[in-house]
Amino acid sequence: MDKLQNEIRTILEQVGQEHRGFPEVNWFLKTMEQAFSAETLISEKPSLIVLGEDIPRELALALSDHPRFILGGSLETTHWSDALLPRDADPVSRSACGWLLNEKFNLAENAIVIMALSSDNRRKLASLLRGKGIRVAAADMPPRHDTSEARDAWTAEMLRLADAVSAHTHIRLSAHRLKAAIRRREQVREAAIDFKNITWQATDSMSPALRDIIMESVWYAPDRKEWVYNLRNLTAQITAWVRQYYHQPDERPWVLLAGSPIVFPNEKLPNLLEASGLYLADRADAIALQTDIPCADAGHSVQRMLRRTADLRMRMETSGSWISNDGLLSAVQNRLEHLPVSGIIWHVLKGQIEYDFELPKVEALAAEYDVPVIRLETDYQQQDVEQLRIRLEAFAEMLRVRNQERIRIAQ
Amino acid sequence: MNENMNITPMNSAQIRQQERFDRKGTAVAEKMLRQVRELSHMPETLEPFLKTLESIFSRREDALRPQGVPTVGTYCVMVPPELIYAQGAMPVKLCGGSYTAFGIGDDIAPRDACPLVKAVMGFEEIDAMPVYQNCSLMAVPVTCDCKKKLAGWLQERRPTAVLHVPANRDRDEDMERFVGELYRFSEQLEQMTGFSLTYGRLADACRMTADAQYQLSRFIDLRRKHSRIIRGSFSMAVMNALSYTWLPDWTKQLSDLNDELASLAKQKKTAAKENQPRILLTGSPVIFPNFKLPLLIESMGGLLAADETCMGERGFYDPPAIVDRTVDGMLRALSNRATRPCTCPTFADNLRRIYRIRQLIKDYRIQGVIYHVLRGCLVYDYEYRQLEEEMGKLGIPVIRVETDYNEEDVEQLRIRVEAFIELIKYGGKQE
Amino acid sequence: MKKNKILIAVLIALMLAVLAYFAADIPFYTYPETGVTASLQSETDTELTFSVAGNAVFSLGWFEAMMPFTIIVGLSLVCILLDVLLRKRLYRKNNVPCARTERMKFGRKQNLPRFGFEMIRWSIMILSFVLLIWGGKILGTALSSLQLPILACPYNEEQLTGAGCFLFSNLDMLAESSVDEILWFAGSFIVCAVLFGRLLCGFVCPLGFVQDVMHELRQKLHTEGIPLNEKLYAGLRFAKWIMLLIFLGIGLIGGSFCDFCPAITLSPALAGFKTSLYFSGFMMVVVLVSGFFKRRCFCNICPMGYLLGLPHKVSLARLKKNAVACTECGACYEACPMGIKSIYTVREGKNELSIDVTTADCIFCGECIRRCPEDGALFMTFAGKKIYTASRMKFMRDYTTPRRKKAAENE
Repeated sequence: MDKLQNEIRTILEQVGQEHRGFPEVNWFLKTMEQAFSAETLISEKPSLIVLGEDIPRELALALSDHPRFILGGSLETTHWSDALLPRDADPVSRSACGWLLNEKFNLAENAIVIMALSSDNRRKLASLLRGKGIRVAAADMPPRHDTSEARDAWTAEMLRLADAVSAHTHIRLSAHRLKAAIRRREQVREAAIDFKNITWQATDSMSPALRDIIMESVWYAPDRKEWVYNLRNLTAQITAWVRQYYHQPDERPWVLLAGSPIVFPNEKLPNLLEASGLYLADRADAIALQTDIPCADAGHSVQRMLRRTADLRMRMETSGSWISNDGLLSAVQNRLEHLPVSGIIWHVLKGQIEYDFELPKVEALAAEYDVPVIRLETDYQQQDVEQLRIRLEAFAEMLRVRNQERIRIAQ
Repeated sequence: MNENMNITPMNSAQIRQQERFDRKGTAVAEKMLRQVRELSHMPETLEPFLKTLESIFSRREDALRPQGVPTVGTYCVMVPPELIYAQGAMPVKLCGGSYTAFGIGDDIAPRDACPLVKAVMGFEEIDAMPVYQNCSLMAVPVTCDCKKKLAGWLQERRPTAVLHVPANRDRDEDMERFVGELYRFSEQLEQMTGFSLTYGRLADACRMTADAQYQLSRFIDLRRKHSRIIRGSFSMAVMNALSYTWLPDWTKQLSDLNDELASLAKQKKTAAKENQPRILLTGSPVIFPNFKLPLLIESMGGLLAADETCMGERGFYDPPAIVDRTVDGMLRALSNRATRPCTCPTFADNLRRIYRIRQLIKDYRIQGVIYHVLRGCLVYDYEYRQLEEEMGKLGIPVIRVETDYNEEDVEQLRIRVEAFIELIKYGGKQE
Repeated sequence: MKKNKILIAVLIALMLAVLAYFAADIPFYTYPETGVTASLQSETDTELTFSVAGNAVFSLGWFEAMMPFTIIVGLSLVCILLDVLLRKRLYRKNNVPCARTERMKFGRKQNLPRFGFEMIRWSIMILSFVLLIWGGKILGTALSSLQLPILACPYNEEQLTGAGCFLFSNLDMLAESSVDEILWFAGSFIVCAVLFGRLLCGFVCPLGFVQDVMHELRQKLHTEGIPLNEKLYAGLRFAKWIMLLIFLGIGLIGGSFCDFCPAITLSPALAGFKTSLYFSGFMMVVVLVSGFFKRRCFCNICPMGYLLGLPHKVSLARLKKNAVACTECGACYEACPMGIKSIYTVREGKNELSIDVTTADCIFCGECIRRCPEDGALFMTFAGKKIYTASRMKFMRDYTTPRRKKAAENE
């Protein structure tokens, strides 16, 4: 438990210094610390736990006022589940399993866990958790996202989750609650997009790692309204700072980090990128891309709203559960179009083989934009940091040379 | 979509690769077949099955079938053969077992993908397996991650039908969703063959598979009543040959084998001695020519008494229980059969597999379990822990054997299997 | 969503109750008053004396008595045809990929009928059908005091036995009867329910026989039925509670169940008694049509059956399961006309190899055992002795090519 607290604290302290003195940042850091503190973990007994990022957040918030999201990001928690999972299970699943099954705290005591069966790991995790006595409601993700039967199936599965949760929490999923959650989610989305935009305008305002942690803190904030408020404040502070001071143009090459998700507190790669002199412009992974997905315009009935959500999400969502991860490709393409990206880092966590299958398509896409792609396979351990550093520094060097060539040719 | 004929001429590197594939593929298949034939107590009526495997893998011919019948490549047991036969085509199970194809696919697929999928990708690249090349349609049920991505990969190259197998099966609507998938699949078959789904055709096809499953039931019954009547490697050959044989032919061949076994039983002849440990093989599928493990077990003094793998007995074990003699009723029975009793670990809740293994242990008086995991097959690996616990309760020794599609680890495996067999003989549960 | 369901349920209940109460005012087929038909007051005597002789079979009087039943059968056939044709048109128009009704061609019985549980059950059903309807003519009135608790209809005065259903539905009359009468009634009910339970439903009840005949007719014609699932069965079960309330209560508030019950259309008419039919005629049409499309649909809502099933924990007939041999294939659930899912899902029990899965709904038709493909996974016992066990070879023989045909093919 102490190791976990150390892990969290170290990261938060480190990123806490990586900004130009915006007081609002402290609110976010405190929120994150609160969410992972020992007292919270031991005493908080949520009634709904959401495992993974692919259950729409608005649905979770409509079903319960304070759901706990477990995205699976801490190295320490992966050790706790070593005995239960096979050698090749990916670190996200290991971590998620560790969060729920350990001797130090029992998050799932009063809770029902909902998850989407988007990969092998999730399927077996569901059965493993059930075997250990945890209440689990699992939604089967259809593998195609373009047919109307798939959308009906997705909607039906979400309703199934809602039924299971309502039976447990005795809160019925009403159109009213769903509408309120959707509205809140839209506000979050707008605030997040504005925030990202301002950080692109002034890349030296804060490090990408801090920026992304602030974005990720929405999963853990107890009150999203407050989160939006604070984020708007922060955006205003940064805007004011941008106007006040002179900003040297950033010479660093901009890169995209795509593929397997980076989950707090696993900030190994963002830190490495920073150290290698690269600017992590944006992340195109399942967690970060949740911000991209618009919410359904509020409708009359739960059924209709969920159906509309299905239409929107299934086109854009990036998930290992699709046969071809078109959402991810289009997200990457979107960023290549709108941001001055010089390189793509294709991040594959050990065991998340679905991203390896997508790599050839991403390489082909990036070739059209003349952007090189580097594949980094890693997990949550710190042992390969040096090797990664060497590779990333070489990659950074190559990108710098290419950029300079391009500038020279343009002149 | 490439209609699978070689339009572009191959360059010299490709030609060399093809020649290497031909040579090595034949060599491996021949070697496995020879080792099977060298095992003692091979029944005469096993020969037709081995001939089928020889024709497909050694001489690389297409599956033997009546004139004009197209083939549909299936992956996984969830694709009902009855439906394919009813609409005038022949199903061939194309889960790959070839080492040489695996070697080729290794360059294309991600490093950690399962060898089955790599072998299939190898088949596609090398263009030298007619049983694969000549398929007019590929039917891929989306079960594990690798199959899912394989479906997408194949879709870009050939006409493919994708079937969504529900991961949850506690609710009726999950099974009913698969009925919808079968109807959609039936439409695709109709476009391909021109035959629409009528009661008469479907009833005839179901009767055909019922005849085959009747013979299989006889086979299982004989092995249960006389537990050492036939070696497991031979049973594996019989079940593997099913993937490439026109079903009525297979039924006839199995019927002859059953008759021979029945007469052997009457004469009280057995294929193994009483003190040879009876082993159950379960886990990732054992696909010809990857017969490494069964051959090792039997050559090291054990008897492969039963198997719980999807290219073995499980591939054809469950019959569709048709309770309603209509088209919809039959499709419902087929969907039921594909989802409910299936012990594939890709289903979120797979407790029935433990019960199945316990029943097999009882039926065949199993003394030891070998859990076979292919490198990269995550779902079976996940279930190992629970099975180990259950076997511990019953007092039956289990070992986990991880292997891949190459011959380099044969010696290591030999040592482990031998040690396991010794353990059972001298230290484990004695009957 | 739940609010709507409750509203609909209440509306249906009210509608059925109103129909039942005013059943006497909804004539289906009435005979002109001739003053010859006997009233039911004579039932209260322990010895039935023939005050009116029923018409001999195939006499003119008999045809007159059969008139309403013939109309019912005709109406049912018309309804069935309409439904089938409509469905075909609907599917063709929508190009919907689901149940296609086959051209009506009479299927040849492929396999020779085999001696077994099924044949015994059909024989007993036919025998009891004959005896219960014409038994008085054949065997006299010796058993007429026995009040068999099935819907056999006392309006047929030539029944072999009495029928308990009348007194159940007229509890006020029961209270006013003589002690002898009450004892016979209670005694026969207790003995039948405890000894046989719902075996009577599966083996003896003539209404059950009629429904089985309708089912076999549909099988021969290969016409699509309506497969039910959990949700629809839950709806049917709800209807059962309403029927039960009406059955027990309608007599107390001045109505009569006999004007609502479908059985009155069958037994008296076949024996030659001219019985005026009120709402029961329509009910019988519903029974026949629903029984055609769903096996034993009325048995799911039969109130008499429910009462018989109450003491299922102590009755002699039991259904047992070997949880280890069971592969959870669900064939038993698919085959069960009463939609009992627990036979297939139950795995835990005191003795794994012999778990008692008898439920209050089970009519002991034996279909589950017939369709069970695993040796010994399901078996039926009577007074501790196994009378019917699942067998794989017998299962297969129901589906394989018959030997004669196979021999012909081989030549």
